Order: sequence, then C-alpha cells, then structure tokens
Amino acid sequence: MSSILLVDDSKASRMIVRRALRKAGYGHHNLKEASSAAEALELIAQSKPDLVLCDWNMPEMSGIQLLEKLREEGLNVKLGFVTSEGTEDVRKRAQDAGALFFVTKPVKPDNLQRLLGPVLG
Amino acid sequence: MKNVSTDDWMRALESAAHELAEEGLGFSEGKVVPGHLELHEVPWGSLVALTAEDRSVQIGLVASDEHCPTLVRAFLQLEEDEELEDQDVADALGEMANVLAGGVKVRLEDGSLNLGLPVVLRGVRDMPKTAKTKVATTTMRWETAEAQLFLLQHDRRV
Repeated sequence: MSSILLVDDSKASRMIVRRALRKAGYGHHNLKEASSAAEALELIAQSKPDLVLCDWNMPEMSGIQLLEKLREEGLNVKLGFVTSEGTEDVRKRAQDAGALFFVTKPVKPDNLQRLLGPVLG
Repeated sequence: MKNVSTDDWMRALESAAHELAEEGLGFSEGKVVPGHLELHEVPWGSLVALTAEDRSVQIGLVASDEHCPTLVRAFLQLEEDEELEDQDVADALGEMANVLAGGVKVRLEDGSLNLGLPVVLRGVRDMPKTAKTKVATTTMRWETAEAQLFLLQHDRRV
C-alpha cells in the first residue's frame, strides 16, 4: 500500500480526484489531502508520500512553484499534475521541472490508471 | 498572438462544456440552445479569466437556484438527500468554471493566455462590463438541469 497526497485548493476537486482514484483501482492506498502548496510542503517534509497529485493553479503558491521548491530542497518526491491546464507550453514546463505525468481535468479514471500504473504498480 | 473570433471562443466553450457534462457530470450529450442571456441577474455563477497582454476573456457559467443544486450534486456525485452547504456549491461551481476555462484554453491552443483563479458569484446584479465588452452567451440543456455559459471579451488594444 502506498501513500498518495492530493494537493488542490478546491475541496470539490480533491473529492473528484479521490473518486477517480477509487474507480481506477487505487482506493486502497493511503490518501491524504492538502488544500495549499504550503500545507503540502509541510506534509511532504513530515511523511514523504510515495506520490503527490497536484493542481497547477492555486493561490499564493502554484503547483509548479511547489515542485520547483521541492527540487530545490532536494526532496525528490514523485509528483504528477492533475489540472485544467493542458497547453503544450505548460506540459513542457511541468516535464522540465521533473513532473512524472500530467492529467487534464475532467479526470478520467482510465487516464489515471494508465499513468499511475508504472508509478504505483 | 492568435486572433480569435467570438464564434471561435464560443465553439471552444461549448465543446469544453460537452466534455465537462459527459466526464464530470455524467450527463449524456446536452443540447445547445442558442439565445442571448442578458446577465442582469446571476443567482449562482462562476467565472475564470483568461488573460494576455492585449485581451482578457472571462469564461463562466450561470445557474438558477433551481438547477444549481442538480449540477453540483452531479459534479460531486452526491445523492439527492445529501446536504449541500453554500460553501460546497461555491467551491464546485468554481471548479466547473476552472475546468471550462482550461478546456477552452487547450482547444484554442493559445499558450499566451494565462488561466486565472475561479471567482464565484451569488445574487449578482449586472456582470461587470464596459461599453466595449463583447458578451456572448448560450444555454446548455441536459435531461435534469441547464446552465448558461458566457464569455466576456475585453479588448485591451488601444
């Protein structure tokens, strides 16, 4: 069983991603939530999740800023974006920063399955 | 920067709405009912801005007090008897606008546009616009609910 951290300022979005994870067959993993990048940083430092699923656009600190901060601090936690963004420039920026994958909203369970499979098994 | 007509914006918005309805709300394909919504009264609504140096477009949806709970329950997959707080409605509507605006940006393939954060509207009278704002609206109708989609185009070119 792995630990997954969902990071999104929208409670509705976190609920929807949880549901999609369950439908994709990952509901048995230990799921935690953070409503901000700042909260995520604390949780990651404390408990080092196996995977972080993170939104892109958030107030105060964006998802990409979170990822860049994690890399700066030498925290090589696995992170994928779940976001309404999807243009090529954003995907490239995510890839260059070290994101493992990029899922666009609305989230489809089969997309999660395809992308999380290699990461979580 | 790409020159995008109002029709292009609306086609992208309708396409994004169809995708949201099918994948996010679990609704079968909705009907687009053309017609102009005045946006004088917004019982419930949400919008997200797409901005570039020379223009700003606000994309969103409006729902009546009658249809809004149906849309939100579908989005969150809540049963009819599950309680829905105003905060949950606001959050869900904001996320729907977020998905719509992101879907429009992807469809237009315009990387120069920056996606903003959602703004939720409740009981607003008259959407903020100027004499130069282009307004386009349409109604999406599904079996159990409907919503009005809108875009407000603000051209910043002198």
